[in-house]
Amino acid sequence: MRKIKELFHEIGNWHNKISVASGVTKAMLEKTAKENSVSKEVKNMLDKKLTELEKFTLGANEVLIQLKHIVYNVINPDTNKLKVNSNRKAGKTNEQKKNKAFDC
Amino acid sequence: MNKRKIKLLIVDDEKDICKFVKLLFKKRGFSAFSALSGKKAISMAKRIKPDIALIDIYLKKKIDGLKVLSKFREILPKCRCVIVTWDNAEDKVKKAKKLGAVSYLTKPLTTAQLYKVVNQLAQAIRKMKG
Repeated sequence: MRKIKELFHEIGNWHNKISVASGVTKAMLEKTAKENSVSKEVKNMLDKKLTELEKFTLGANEVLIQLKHIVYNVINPDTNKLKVNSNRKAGKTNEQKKNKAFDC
Repeated sequence: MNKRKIKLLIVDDEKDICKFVKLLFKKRGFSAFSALSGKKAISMAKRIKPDIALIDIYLKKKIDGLKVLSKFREILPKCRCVIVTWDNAEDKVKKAKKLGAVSYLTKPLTTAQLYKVVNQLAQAIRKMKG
């Protein structure tokens, strides 16, 4: 089984590829549009969409980083095993909940 | 004016990223090279002597980006090394700065971000070389 750490990095790499590819395509578009007399409207529309794609990728990556922090807190990303401390904490929390329930 | 092209070395284990970044900077008049592993990067650096290196911290094989950076500082003290991280890990960035990285970039990379950092370094190199 692959490590959680590797999987997170792989998703990060896919985001990186999308972002860089959009930027490179935008740079290529500049040149190609001139050479092939692409209308200004079409060029601008493509440019705008590629910029959006870059922006969406950054947004997706921000969420991924948040998710990573949550997962890494509970699971050791190198072994895929639950962290002992988080087990204890989870156990304690459940116990506390039970106790609260009895209090009621 | 010094017409020698600035040499840029991209160290990343992702083939596509190497291809894209190389294309981007070749179009801007740089001599761009890439290496898919730390080992290859070190042997290539000895041969081409890059002015600027973009080094990904997370490399899948034995030698990670920080080791590459440290080796580059040893064999090419004039090479400006920029570290690329995915998660902005503070400890790694601190370590990279200590090892002599001049700047760092966070993934996902944008072309604007890449141009800005690399162009600033290229301008400084050109100025120094007169």
